[in-house]
Amino acid sequence: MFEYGGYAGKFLRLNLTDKKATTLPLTKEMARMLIGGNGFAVKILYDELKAGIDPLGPENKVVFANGPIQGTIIPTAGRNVVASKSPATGGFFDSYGGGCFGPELKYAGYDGIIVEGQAKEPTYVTVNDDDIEFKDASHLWGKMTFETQEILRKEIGDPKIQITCIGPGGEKLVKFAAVIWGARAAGRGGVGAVLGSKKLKAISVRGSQDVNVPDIDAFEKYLTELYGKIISNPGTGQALPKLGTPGVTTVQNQLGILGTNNWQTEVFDKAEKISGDVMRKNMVVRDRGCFACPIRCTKMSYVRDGPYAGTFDEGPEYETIFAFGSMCGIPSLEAIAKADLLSDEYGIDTISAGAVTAFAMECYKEGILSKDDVDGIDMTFGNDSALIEMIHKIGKREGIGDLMAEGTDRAAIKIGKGAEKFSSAIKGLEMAGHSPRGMKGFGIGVATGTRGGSHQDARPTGERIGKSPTDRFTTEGKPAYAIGTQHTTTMQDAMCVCRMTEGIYGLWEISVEHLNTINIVTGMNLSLEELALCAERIVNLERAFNCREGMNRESDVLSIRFMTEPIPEGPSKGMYYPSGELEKLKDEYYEIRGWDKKTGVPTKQKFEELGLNQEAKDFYK
Amino acid sequence: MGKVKVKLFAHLRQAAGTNEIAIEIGEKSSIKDVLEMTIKTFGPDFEKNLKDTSTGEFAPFLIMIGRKEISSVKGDLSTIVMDGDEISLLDPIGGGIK
Ligand code: SF4
Repeated sequence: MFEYGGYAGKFLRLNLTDKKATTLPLTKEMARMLIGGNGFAVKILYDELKAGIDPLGPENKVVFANGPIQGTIIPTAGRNVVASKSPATGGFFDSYGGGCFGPELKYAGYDGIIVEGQAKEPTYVTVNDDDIEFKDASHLWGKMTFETQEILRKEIGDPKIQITCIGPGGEKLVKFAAVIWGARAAGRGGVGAVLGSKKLKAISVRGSQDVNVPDIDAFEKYLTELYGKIISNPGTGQALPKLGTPGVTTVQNQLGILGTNNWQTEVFDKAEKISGDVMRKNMVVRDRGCFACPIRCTKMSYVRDGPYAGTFDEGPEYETIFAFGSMCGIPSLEAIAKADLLSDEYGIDTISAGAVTAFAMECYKEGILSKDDVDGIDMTFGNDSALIEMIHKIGKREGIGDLMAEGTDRAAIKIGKGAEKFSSAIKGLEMAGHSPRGMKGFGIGVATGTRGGSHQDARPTGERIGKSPTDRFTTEGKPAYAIGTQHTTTMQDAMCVCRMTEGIYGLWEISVEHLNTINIVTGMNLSLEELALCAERIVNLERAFNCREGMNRESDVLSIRFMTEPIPEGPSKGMYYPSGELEKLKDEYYEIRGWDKKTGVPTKQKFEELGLNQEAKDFYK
Repeated sequence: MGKVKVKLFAHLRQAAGTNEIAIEIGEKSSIKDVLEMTIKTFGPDFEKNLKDTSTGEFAPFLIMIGRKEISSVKGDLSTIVMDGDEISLLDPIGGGIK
């Protein structure tokens, strides 16, 4: 048995080229230094990938990883990471999904799965504890994600297996293809395309092993406390159970930070039509939770009438409402639910799918894309049927969808004519539904983050709920604040707990809550300082991965619009991130981080402080 | 004496059963008074949407007086409100789980 509680003690390695399964032991040092999740993934990928490889070539790898808590009933312990070198950003990318896949993988005896090589024919893999089989997936190739799971469940004959798979989007190498299990998605960064390039359609997992904690009484006592905190907190005990993340739509709009019409503005005059309370009233038929989650923020929606009648969708979440709703100027929750369902079926990321559609709409409005260029579709902002057509075309890589499947930055290069100024991508990833120009701390955090246009490296929450040290308009002290948010998200991702518990664990500092959860599950008895170093170590390892791929100080910028165009109206009118301001904050940020101000690479001293001596040699002779 | 309009957002609407309410204010009513009067109007079930039930403290959320933003936990809740002010109570939740 592994020395520490919670962990299985090994990773499963699936080589698709030779159809061989082997294991890689988890070391004690790796657990103490990197905790799990993104920490494990970045270490494995840094060590095993060569710089400069093609993200969609056979040399790339995909790591599914758990943290120590998966398989226990610590609240929200149902998540796991899917990480790879991203075809969208060219850097390290970690994407998470909830549900039950992570816990089942732990019950099968693994802290993660490393997928490598490339199969010649479509393949799926069944994992039943130590019994691993590579099977022909020709009959599944081309199938949507829900049908794939249904067929496999019948074929394997076990209704309780957990299946992760890709849809046609992943098969066709859409740069923002997702990995889907149930209706949950590790959506961002194109990890689904990497599996598609390997011709791996699905992995099914079933396990029968226990997860141990060192002191079950202490664990139960702590668990009761943690549940109590979640229930008594208005965010996790009331807001999320009632409306889920869609509750935030009208809040963002009221603050004037709801990206609208491809971020031309940040006030959507029809936001009330796509609000969480309207969704609850008109569409929500049931609440649902991931494994071990008392919050149950997921809303199951059913469209009763109109052109999308009969749509039964898990969601939509806020990010999806932003991407298909305000970003495309579409005030219809019914159309958003339909687009959400289709995206899950094709296995593509809703945020990027909405952002590329909005980008195409603006190019169309400006005459950069003609009606012929967009296959005769009326790409006017607000046209919901255009959105639905676009999702089909992207999922199949047909016509204009083939171009848009590349993501906004690459599509803009192909289109030319100044289209790049309409791309919302940062480091190649389309910006999620939070305003980098309307929240100064969030903005510097997004610019310097590993993933680019994500809301999961730096966080908007502190500034949006008035808890950050200074308000969202202020730049003073924001580099340190942004670093704090990056460390807490990193720790949550190492533990693989849901972001919705950030108000419980802490918004910008590694807290006693993080520490207690980890120590009680593992018995590692880490100190708070050691744990804080783990978060910093993971961020720096991610940074080293990206710098080895050629990213540098110049990569730490926002998209053109955020740096040159002030928000034109509303409560955040006038806010933007001029490059001079950003560069000044970057100096301060690098100084605090211990990164070289010229290159943006962690200094030799910083690498060594974090015990990353081997990695330092890649940059310093 | 006068009145302010309190606009509710997100789950607060569901908890209150309405999107907005007019609250009578005195000559020197503060934003804190308005919050407490709103809670009194809608009752204890509404209160747990704004305050942590174990500590009795306000959760962090933004309050807007017109366009001015005040934090429920760091701002000056003694700020005096004026007749005709429009006060928005935003929501303490995060958003975005992908
Ligand atoms: S809060 Fe929502 S997304 Fe997070 S684990 Fe619970 S149900 Fe899943």
